[in-house]
Amino acid sequence: MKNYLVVLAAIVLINPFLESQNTSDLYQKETIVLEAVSEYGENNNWEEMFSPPSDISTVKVHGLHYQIAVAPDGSVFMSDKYYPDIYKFDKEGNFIDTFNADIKSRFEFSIPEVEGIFNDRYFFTTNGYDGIQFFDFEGNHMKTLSIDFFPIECKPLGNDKVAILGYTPWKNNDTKRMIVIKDFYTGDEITIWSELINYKRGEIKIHLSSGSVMNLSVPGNYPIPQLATSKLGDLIVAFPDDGNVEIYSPEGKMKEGFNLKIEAVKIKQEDIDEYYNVGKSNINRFKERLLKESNFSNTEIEEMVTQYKEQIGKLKDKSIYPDHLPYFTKVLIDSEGNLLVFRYTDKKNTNKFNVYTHTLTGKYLSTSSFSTNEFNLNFSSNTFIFHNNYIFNIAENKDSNGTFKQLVKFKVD
Amino acid sequence: MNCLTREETQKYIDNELSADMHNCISNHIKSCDICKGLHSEVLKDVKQLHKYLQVFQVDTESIPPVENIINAQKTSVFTTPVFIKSIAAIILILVTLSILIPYFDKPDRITESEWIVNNLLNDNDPNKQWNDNQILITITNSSDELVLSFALDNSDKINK
Repeated sequence: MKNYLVVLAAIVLINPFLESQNTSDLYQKETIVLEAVSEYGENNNWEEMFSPPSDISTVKVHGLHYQIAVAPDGSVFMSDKYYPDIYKFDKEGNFIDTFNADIKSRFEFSIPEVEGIFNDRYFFTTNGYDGIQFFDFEGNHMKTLSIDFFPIECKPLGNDKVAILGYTPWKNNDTKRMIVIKDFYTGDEITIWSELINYKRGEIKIHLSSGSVMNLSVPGNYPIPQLATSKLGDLIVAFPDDGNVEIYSPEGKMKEGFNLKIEAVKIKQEDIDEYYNVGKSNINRFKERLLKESNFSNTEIEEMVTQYKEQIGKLKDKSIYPDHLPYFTKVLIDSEGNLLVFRYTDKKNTNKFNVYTHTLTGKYLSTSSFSTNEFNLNFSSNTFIFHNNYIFNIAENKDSNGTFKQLVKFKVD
Repeated sequence: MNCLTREETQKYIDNELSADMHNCISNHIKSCDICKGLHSEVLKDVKQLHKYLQVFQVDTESIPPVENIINAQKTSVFTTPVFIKSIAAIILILVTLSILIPYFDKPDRITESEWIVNNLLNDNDPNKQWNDNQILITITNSSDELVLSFALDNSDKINK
């Protein structure tokens, strides 16, 4: 009995060290090669499934925006901003069925977005002011959690809670952003963070004689907090504007915080000049898009093109850009619970991330990147998900020239 | 004259009879022992009643008609403590709301164009947006309805 206890104590003491050692070994590599599971979704015609509608003039939402959630058995639920349906794929990646998740909405443009898996029982979606919708894995609508603001991102937490990052219009043309933790059963909510911003910087507003308004926006201004869920069900909030990370219990109590100690990338004059050059070189493409995708008259289009040419010089105005890029782009939690913080890179289709230990005390482990041979990875919200030592991603097939993406399952090498 | 009933005796005591009848009954009571006894009994009841009314401090001489009492109650309801307190509470609530409402005065809905801008700026890969030198363009009509949105960037293909 005594020997048994000694062995047990040794295992308890040593195990965390062994666990973190395995993880840190993986991320010590400068590049982690992701190998796509070749037979995953082999029955699907990805090009047909993921191409946007041919009549793009009717499509008001742009960005090829998909979001996925992976159920405990490996099946995947996916939303597509072109359609109100939710797609379901089995654990082999083959398409099974679609569910209509378009709960009656106040806004015609509101389309459900898959956000995650709740309590291993439901997948849930956000749909504008219509709140958080919970569905069982057969697609049956089970519950709606009402909110009075517009959701950006939603994460499941422990103790039957969900965290919602959202915004709402405020007076004086301000926008109020907030992070709210809401109870699934009671609907009680607590706001753990909020801020007021005014989207003036980063925007060039052009008023046209018809009364229409044309807005040109550059990215980098007003980065939003990034949410993640720890292995213990706590909420992780990472702030790209200052590099701070805060960890909250599901009850909304802040447990700890630390700074990522990342050096932000300064925006240089050459970056600004490049933006201006892109804007200037795209005058013809700008006109093409207006002719092809709108019902404006030729007179109106000519005015827009003239105004675009006259105003595009404002892209050289340093005041519309922030002093530096946000400290990071996205945060993710891997299967071990490590925090991966994605950085800005200076090359297209590359990625780089810092790894912080799974105990989330701010201990930096290493910097690495992911690489694949066939795909350009996508690190947008809810498109890069760790699940049982695999990674699920909506990735762009390099052979597709960007015309379509597909659901890919990678084995982490 | 016949002997009096109890009611007639009560009216005699309350002076609710005509002068002739009153005199007639007075003369009868003087000469009739039965009516004299009845008069004493009813008078005794009236005095007892007055005694009870005095306990409640009711001025029996000047109790106004019921109609006047009801009208008086109607005119005094606005001065009752309950009414005054209700008015005060309503005023307080209105003052509080007038102070607080401007801070919660928000539009009823978010415009489609705002939704588009916020979603595209917030949801897409920021690193990709920056490396692509992406410029987001939205065009809204005079009613603030989104007419068109797209992104221009440094790629050769049309970016959606």
